[in-house]
Amino acid sequence: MILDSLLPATASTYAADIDQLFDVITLLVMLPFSVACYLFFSFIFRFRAKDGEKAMYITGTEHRYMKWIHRAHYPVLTFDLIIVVMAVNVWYDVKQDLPEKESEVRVIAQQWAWTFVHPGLDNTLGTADDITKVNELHVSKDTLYHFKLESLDVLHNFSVPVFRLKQDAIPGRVITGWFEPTVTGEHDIQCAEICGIGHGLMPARIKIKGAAEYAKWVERESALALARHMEETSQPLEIAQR
Amino acid sequence: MFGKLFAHKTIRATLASAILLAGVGVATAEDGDLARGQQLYALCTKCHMTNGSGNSEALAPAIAGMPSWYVETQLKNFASGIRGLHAEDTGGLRMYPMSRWLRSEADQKAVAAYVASMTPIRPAKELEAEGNAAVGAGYYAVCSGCHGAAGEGNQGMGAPPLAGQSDWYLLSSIQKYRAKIRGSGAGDPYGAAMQAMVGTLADEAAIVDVIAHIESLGD
Repeated sequence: MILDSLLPATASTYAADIDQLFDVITLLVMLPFSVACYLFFSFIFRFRAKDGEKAMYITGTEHRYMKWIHRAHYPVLTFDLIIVVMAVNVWYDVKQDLPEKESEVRVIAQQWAWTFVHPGLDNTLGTADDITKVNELHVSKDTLYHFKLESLDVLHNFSVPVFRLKQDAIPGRVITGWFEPTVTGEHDIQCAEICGIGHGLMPARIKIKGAAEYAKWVERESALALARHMEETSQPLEIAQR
Repeated sequence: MFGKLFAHKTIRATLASAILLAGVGVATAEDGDLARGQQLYALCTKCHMTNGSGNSEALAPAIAGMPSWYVETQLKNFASGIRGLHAEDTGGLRMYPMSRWLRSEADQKAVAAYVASMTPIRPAKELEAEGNAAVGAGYYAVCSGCHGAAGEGNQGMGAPPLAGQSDWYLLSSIQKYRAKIRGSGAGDPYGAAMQAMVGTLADEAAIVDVIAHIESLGD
């Protein structure tokens, strides 16, 4: 990979596909760009002002001049086609195809924090043992997740650089996407859409655990969530809207 | 290469200016002076407004004239995550990152001092529900033990002034304490106490009544 040293580590099944696309685009754009720069600067040098030589005025309409523009178009158009075909394939895999889930998580964006709702021991969202965390997303390695992305206020963007994942969060919509972590570790989550004055201060962390460690975490946290739920339901209260 | 770069007189002058300016900032912050507080408060104006009158749309309460000890305590509580990190505390989750702009205790003190120096502004009534202030006075007897009979607050009890606070913010705070959205952070004994105290308000009607009484204080 050409850009390995410039990009964050990869930690999802599709991260390598996106990096490969970066590489192809970089190569195919850099090649004509380099040739154009070489010609541009070498022509400036070669045809610089010289004593006794008058500049030639070229309209650029004659075939012998135009052919250099036409011929250059063919490889550029071919490169564009290659990029489009590869990008559509990756886009389909990441954004349009929705593989069957093994688990799911709710991601709620607001000014200026992330709330993550994880399923408890029943591995189902919307039940009493759901685990809610602010600015912390806990996931299990090698598990295919669907995420349900919401925004409480303005546009946000759920960005997990190590997954090469970016998805806008739009108020009023629940957007479904997917990811599958491939390595354990702790990494950044960021908002990639300017969302107000605190935008730069809403980072969160994703904690990718091994299956056994994640199971222990779920067991502990869902028990706490259940206890809180029991306490709350014994004192039914109207939740504040502000 | 870097040696040559830093040898350049323009870059040297820029670096020297930056170091000098940073030094000036630190010195004034340590003084906790109003000028520094006013400068830092510029960030708060986006929600709390320039005159500190607050803005219910931004979930920001009126803070002009709040005592500096209370503002400083809350800034520290937000910055450390004691307050504002509950998933259902929408306003708190906004304030948590903003409080972290203030990166030293001196800056927190400076902002608190500036907020305290601002002229209090009587917020307009925003709640639609009409409470009975006379009935609310009965409920308020419990609150007055800490917040004072005139809602003037009591630093010794960690109780802020209530008189002159926005009605929507009083309602929101009481509801958050009742739902344990606020006051559950470790290291917030006054918040824990408030969770217990709001239990004396039996229902929504009682809450609206006590707010009506608080709003009548200082008239």
